[in-house]
Amino acid sequence: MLIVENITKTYRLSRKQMYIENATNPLKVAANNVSFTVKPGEIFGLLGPNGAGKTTTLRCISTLIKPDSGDAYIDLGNERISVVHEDDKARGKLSFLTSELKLEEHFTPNYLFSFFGQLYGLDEETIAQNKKKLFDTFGINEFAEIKVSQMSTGMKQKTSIAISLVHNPDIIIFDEPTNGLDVLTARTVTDYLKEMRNEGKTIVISTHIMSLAAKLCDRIGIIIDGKIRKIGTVQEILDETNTDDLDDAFFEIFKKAKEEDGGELA
Amino acid sequence: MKNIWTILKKELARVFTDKTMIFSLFILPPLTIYLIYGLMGLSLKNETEKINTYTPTVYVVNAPDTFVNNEKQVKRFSEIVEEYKQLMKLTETNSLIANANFFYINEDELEDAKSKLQTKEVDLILYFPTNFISLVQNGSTNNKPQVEILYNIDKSYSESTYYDSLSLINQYKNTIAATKIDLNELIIFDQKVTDVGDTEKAQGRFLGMILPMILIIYLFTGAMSVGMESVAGEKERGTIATLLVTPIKRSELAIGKIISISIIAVLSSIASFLGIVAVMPQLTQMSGGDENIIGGLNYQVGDYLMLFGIMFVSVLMFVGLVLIVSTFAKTTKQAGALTTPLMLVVMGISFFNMFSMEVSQNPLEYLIPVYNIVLALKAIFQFSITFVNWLLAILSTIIYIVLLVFLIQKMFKSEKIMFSR
Repeated sequence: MLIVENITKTYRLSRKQMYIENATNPLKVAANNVSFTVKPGEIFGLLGPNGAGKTTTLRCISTLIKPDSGDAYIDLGNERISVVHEDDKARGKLSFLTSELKLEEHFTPNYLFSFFGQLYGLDEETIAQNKKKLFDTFGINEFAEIKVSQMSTGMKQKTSIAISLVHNPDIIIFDEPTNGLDVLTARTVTDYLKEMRNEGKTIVISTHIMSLAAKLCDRIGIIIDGKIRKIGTVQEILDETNTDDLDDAFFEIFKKAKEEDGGELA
Repeated sequence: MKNIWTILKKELARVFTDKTMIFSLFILPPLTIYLIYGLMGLSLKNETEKINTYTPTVYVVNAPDTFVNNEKQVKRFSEIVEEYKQLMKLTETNSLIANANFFYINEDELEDAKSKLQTKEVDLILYFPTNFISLVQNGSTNNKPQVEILYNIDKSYSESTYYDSLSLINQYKNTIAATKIDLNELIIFDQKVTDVGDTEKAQGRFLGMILPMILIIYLFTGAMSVGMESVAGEKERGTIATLLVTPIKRSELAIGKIISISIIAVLSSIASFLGIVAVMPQLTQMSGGDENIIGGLNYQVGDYLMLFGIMFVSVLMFVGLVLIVSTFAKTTKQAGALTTPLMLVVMGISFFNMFSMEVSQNPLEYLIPVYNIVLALKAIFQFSITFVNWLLAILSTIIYIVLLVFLIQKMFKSEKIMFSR
């Protein structure tokens, strides 16, 4: 289980960034008291427009950056790991995927898979087992000995996903899982996420694509300007907003959020 | 530890399975050293050959006529010159002074001759004082006549003619000496040498002096070519983030990087060093055969060990410095831009006392970062290093390296540095 408690992260904007974002305050609260809980066997979706704080929240959970306040816990039943205080340990239990994580161009999927397996402290046998399973799932075997530099975007993405899952993590955090993927690869990825949910993994994804959120996620948290505005299943959200599709529901919530914050509609 | 080893293996695999990297790190540097210095040696050889066929112009002012000393006849100076030329011809000795055209002039033409020497029309002036004969006849130890030799170092022919003329002067001295009775007064006259050229250029001839600097430049560029890209490049390409999401400790990643880059940089500088060794004969030729300065055969095992020790710690030091820059930079391009001033500083320090013959023995100076490396290298090449100073240089550099490693680890832990955009 993943428990996110009041994560707040503030950035200092550079002059240039302030100009781009039309901001008057150099401090930007990217994540503002973000809390949610994801149970094993569940896919939780953070849904929000660009710049809403999705990536910042996911980065905090996956220990890449430290929140200013708040924490997230990986609860494995017998132990509870704080991502802020036991970051090295937490990283062994979770997997963070994003299109920003790239693979070194000079190496082959085979080499990289073993390399990362070793970094996760796995023995040769486990690496071989996991490799077979993941390479089969994503169809990597046919290009397992080709250098990353010579692969297509889809191949790279598949390899990158397979490698992120090398240690069979309990918690999977996936920032924009289908970004930049063709329809077929995107399908492979979403199918695999469902498969892992059925295996009892705890999964968090972020997306701005409503249809993806509606189809894939068991529960959704709508985040706007760093704050979680609503959490629930798709049906709950539709009911609460009196709408019949997620697009309309989202816009209702967005309008309300802007009214609350006293801001203008973007 | 295991993680450091995993990172290390990956970094080494990255380099040793890449033909371009192997070429640019291990083959290109020694090859360029060999070619550049080889060509310099070759052109010097050509120059030497040209010198042998050159006919210098020599002016002799107030050439002494024949005179009698202690009832013995001393031949005219011009006769001595002719005899000397004959002798050189018979013994088939190459001597510029024997090839020279001699012109005998008077005192009042001296200034004109001097300006000709400056404009390089004349190669050498031998100036005898007007009262040379009487000074020789009545000479005592305290009152010896002085023969002035003037040459121009800006013209290499002039300098070579000067060296060759010493033998002719000796010949004349011996002739006069044969007429002396008192064997305690065999020193007949003194020579005074005046060079009308620029002395700094003369020092430039001691190419051997630049060896410590060449070494430092190659050690630094070795560290730079691998280190500069290593973190900044991974940040730019986004591959470092992939490593940072694994449970490996930031410090393990940093240390794995430092060790692997050091290994590659040390190997690369050994390759450069072999290039220097291969071109040593040419270098010796260039420094005018002064082997003490650039070494080779005269060095003992101990000297080589000291040299190796200094080279080893300096590579680590440079790797540390370059890695700081590389970790700080956001892109390879930025790393390159930031490394350039660093390199200029290091080069500046090694240039700093390149030409001074004296090496400081002040132990405190052997504690100054980078400068201590330059000092120690220089002292080793000149056989003037003391063990204490050597140890000080090594130990202080190790302390600086530890500080740099600590700093790099800190930087790896900073999200601002690792994730800034």
